[in-house]
Formats: sequence, C-alpha cells, structure tokens
Amino acid sequence: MSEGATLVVGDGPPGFRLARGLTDLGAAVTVLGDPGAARAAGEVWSGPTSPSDLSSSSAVDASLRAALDPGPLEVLVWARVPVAPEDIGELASLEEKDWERLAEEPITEFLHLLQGASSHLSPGSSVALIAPSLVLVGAPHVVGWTAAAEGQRSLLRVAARRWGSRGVSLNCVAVPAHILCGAPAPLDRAGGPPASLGRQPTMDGEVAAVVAHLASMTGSVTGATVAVDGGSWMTP
Amino acid sequence: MSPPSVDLAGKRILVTGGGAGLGRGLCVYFGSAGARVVVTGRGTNVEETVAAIREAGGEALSARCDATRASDVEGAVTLAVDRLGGLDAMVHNATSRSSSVVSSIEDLNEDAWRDHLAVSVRAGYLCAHAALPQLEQSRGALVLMTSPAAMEGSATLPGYAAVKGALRGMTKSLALEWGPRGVRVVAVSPLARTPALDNAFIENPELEGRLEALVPLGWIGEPEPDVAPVVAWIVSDAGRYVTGQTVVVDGGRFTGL
Repeated sequence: MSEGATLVVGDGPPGFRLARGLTDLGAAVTVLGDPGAARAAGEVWSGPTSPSDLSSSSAVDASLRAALDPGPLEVLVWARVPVAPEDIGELASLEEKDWERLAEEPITEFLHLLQGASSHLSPGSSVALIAPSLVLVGAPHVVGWTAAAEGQRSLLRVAARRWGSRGVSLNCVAVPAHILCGAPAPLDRAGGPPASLGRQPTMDGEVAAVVAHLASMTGSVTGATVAVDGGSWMTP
Repeated sequence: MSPPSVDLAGKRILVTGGGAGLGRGLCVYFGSAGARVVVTGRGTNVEETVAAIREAGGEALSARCDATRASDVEGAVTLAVDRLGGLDAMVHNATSRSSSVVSSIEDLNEDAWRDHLAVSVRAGYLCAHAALPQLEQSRGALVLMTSPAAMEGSATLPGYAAVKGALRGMTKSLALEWGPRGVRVVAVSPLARTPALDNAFIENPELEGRLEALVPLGWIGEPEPDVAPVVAWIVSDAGRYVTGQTVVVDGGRFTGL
C-alpha cells in the first residue's frame, strides 16, 4: 500500500485485528475510536488511535481532520459492529429502542461517515464496508443487524455511483458474522453450507488482504460486494 | 380492467400508505379480488381509497395511522382484529414524502434522512412487531415494499435507496426467523406510475421517455393492473411457498438478482 493514511472506523476486536493486518501489509493505519478500547478488549494494537464522533457529518469531518493531520486519506474502512452476542434474539422480543440502536443508528452513522469523508476522498481513494455475510442471505435472530448492514450496503452503492467520476471507489467485504461479533459460528445459519475452502477467514489475514487488494484496484472495481467467507454462500 | 385473476376471498389485509399511489392501487385490487382491506394512512385520502374499494363492490375499513408511531400501528391491527377477526397479511407500503426528492448523498439533510428512516425502517419494525401474533395465527404474510434503488444504488435518491435496502435485509432475516412459525416475509420491488413520479415527469418532461427506454417491456407499470396482482398472488394461498425473496415487478428493468 502507498503513502496515504488508512483509517479504520471501529474500536472493537474486528477493527483492531483488521488494523493490525493492514499495518502488516504496509499501510499507515489509525483506528478511529476510543483510545482505551484496545487495552480494554485485550487486543494487541499498539498503533495510533484517534477519537471518532459519528453523530453528524460535520463531527465526522472534524474527526477525520484530527486523525489525518497532516497526510491525505487513502483508505477508509468501516469495521464497526453494532451487535454483541447478547443482542442476538427474536425481533418479537426487541423493544423499539433496541431496534433503533441495532438497525437504525448504524445506517445513520455510516451516512454521516460518507458525508463527512467526502471532502477528504481524492482520486485513488477507496472506502471499504466490512459487513456480515448474512447480509447476503439473511439469518434468524439478527434482523436488526441485517437491516442495518443492507441499508449501509445500499448507501455504499449510492456513493459509488456518485463518486466514481471523482476516481473514488467504494466496495463491501462480506465476512462471516461470527468473526465480527464474537458469537458462535451457527449465527451464520445453522446447517448452512460449509466453507468450501475448508477454513474461515481472519480479520488480520484474508480480510485485510482483500481490503488492501480492493484499494489497489480503484480504477476498475466499485459498488461491488466481495464475499470473504471461504466459499460458504455462493450467492448470485 | 379484466376481473382479478387472484382469489383473495376471506383474506384480511392491512396496507400502510393506502391513501394514494401504489398503496391505493394495491388496496383497490385486493378489495376487488375478495379481500377485506384495512386502508391506513396519515391523511384523509384513506377515505377515498375505501370509497373506491366499496364502489367496486369490495369491503374496506379505514384507519388514520402514522406508521412511525407504535400506538397507531397497534391500533390499526386491533381494528382489524375487532372488526375482521384477525389479519392474514400486512403490507408495509408507506414511504417518506421525501422519497422522490432528488439530492446528492452529501446534501441529504438530517431531517429528510430521519423521515426516510422513520417511515420505512422504524415503521417496518412496528408493523412486524404488531402483526406477528395475528399473522402467526393465520399463517399469513408480511410484505415490505422495496425498490430497485435498494439493489443497484441511486446517485440521486440516497435516503430512499438506503432505507429500501434496509427493508430487503429485514425481509431475508425475518423470513428465516418466522418460517418455523408459518409466517412468510416477502419484499416487492415495483416500478409503477405514482403521483410522485407523475410530478417528476411534469418537472422533467424528458424523464418519462428516458425511463421507458430502460424498461425492456417498454412502459412504466400502473399500480393496479401491473403491480397489485403480483402482491395479491404473494399474499394469497397460491404464494404459500414463497418467502425471503425480493420479487421484482418492473417490466424487466432490473435483472441483477
């Protein structure tokens, strides 16, 4: 990867692991999130962390300015996960405020991120949305998360259409849900097809490699979703 | 119009956003196919839809309902239970009044976004939450109206595209969750002439021809004859093995699924 900065939005284990993997590939990575979160999560992340505020597009803009000072933005990655294992449950048992937190806020935050990042993205920049692969096929007991992720994926395509002429590309990387939220593998649908490559990806390994590869192809790939699930769901 | 080809006799169907446009077309068709329809919406135009259904010999009730308010949605479902004895299908068709307002993603303002989110995503949850006990009893169906913009993106309708995408995500997972309960969940992606689209054509006279040229069948569908029969089929007994899908009704314009 080249000279510009890579910002990873997400101060949970998936974000830190992805940041570590991208660093190993040569990127200059800053995690946007709570500086104390890596230690609290027991994650090995010794790279820079900068506070993020996703409450509005102007707050995002300010967060990016602070994190980028002084360099240009090359890669922006969304790796925030709105659900914890205890959030997994039937829609019928979800209260309205839980729906707002799980389904609505993540789309709003992603909208703010794109709006706030727009002026920082220049020709050759790329954005990657890390989403659970259940966004492609659905899964019971995570209706809010699926709604949020599919809403984010639609927004990603909106921006991909809008910003393609500026030379900015945006793509989605769909990974098994359990490696994002730490829940057991059956979250990705019990009885579903096994990974045909025989193993699941890791955030700091295969997922980081795909994000880096997509960032190197800004002239030709945008608006796409790449499933990095070892060949489990081969969706049309 | 020829008689309805789908039999909805005895079905009890609640439609959000039934006062105009596609919602009205759905309601009128459902009524003419034998369903008893609860027409809901925020405006007084729900009464016009009820009158159109009755004029065609159908049976309908109206409920003033802001689909973003839990109490309103629960009240509409209660009305269906009290007056019709239950509910066989809930069709969430209501959409923000900003749906056809053109904007870039950068310029989408917070108020418009919040309205998109409330009328599509929050209301989708409220409809599902309120209707489940009845749909489980009747082994019924929830239909969520979505859009091609949800699947292919739209450079000019960012809020609309995002929330319609969210409804597609909701459809997939809820269908898997509710399948064991005998309840189906289906998304429908229509291309239909609506008052909002007609207004857009007035503002931009070239738009209609451009849009028609994108449709392999060569015309923009009408709510009642072109879209409603497909939705009726989905909620009818004939559609009982269809769930978790996005059914595209757009003259062949979108073929990407």
